[in-house]
Amino acid sequence: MNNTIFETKTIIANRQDLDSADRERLLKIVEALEPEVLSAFWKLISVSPNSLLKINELFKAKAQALASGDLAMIDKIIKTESEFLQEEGNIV
Amino acid sequence: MREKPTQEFVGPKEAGASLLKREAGLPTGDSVKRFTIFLTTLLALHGSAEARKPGAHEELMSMLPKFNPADLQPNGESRGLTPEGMAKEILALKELVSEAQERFGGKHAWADHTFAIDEGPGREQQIADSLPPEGTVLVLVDREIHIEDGSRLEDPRQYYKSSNGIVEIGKEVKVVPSGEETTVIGYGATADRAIVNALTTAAQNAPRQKSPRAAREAKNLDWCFLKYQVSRIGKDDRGGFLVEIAVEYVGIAGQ
Repeated sequence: MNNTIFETKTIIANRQDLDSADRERLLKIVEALEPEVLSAFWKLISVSPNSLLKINELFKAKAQALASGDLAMIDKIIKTESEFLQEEGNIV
Repeated sequence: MREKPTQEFVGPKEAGASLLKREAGLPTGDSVKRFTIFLTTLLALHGSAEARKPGAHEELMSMLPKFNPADLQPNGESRGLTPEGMAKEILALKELVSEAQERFGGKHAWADHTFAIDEGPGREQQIADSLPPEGTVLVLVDREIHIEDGSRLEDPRQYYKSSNGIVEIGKEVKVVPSGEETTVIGYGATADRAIVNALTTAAQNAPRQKSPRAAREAKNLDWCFLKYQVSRIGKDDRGGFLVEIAVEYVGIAGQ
């Protein structure tokens, strides 16, 4: 059996700087991902476990914005992402 | 009378389309950061009610930005690891594990590799033994990803490699406790794989140590010595294994 899902879950389960509700949410999400999306997710967090914090932050903001349909929240996300891209340093 | 600030609300599908459109106009920057941004969008869209409709996954994928392959490989050359390079790395880790096993006198060792090159599927090779429920080990971990700037999320021009080596340390070797302890969780298709996943995560999170002679030649390698004991073993909800392991980071006298 492919190790991708198990390694992904191992990395998430051991991030003590995510609160337990976020860890549980991410564990459920990865279980349901299509293989190619899971593969992209796994590669990124296995190389850069710290990127999981940023992924969690952006994912929560986007899920909330999409559920509410609030375009002002999308504006805010785009601003955050623009700043993130222009920050010096690499997350890997 | 003060005018209320305008606030516009739309349906989830329109909100998703708006987010994708706005993100396509973001400034270029670090490719891994762009990758992170598009990945989180896909995760959010994937979890939406719209995404659960039949055929929605293909539709979501088609919404992601597309790039001309000529932009990705301007010289028409494939970048990154070649199959020959991959074979060399497999042999190098196998040799490193054998050397470490000879040096430290342990009975058990584990080595595995996963490689994905460009659009090809990942390849796995495992040179495995079984791992005991407790012991002192040297853990070697190598993770590397190369993403071409602007590549599509689900079909990136990239290479990815993941290599793990675990070598048991013999009982005659003097171990120096560090006092740094942690508990790690591991998932795996087998109990051994769950232990390997947990120990490699512990190694990636380990405090830095002076390089042992066995690992000195290896580039981009995370490594550590640790003492572990499996404290719980059970099944996860996918029929795989879930282990909980007590870990103490240690040093080896003379290393």
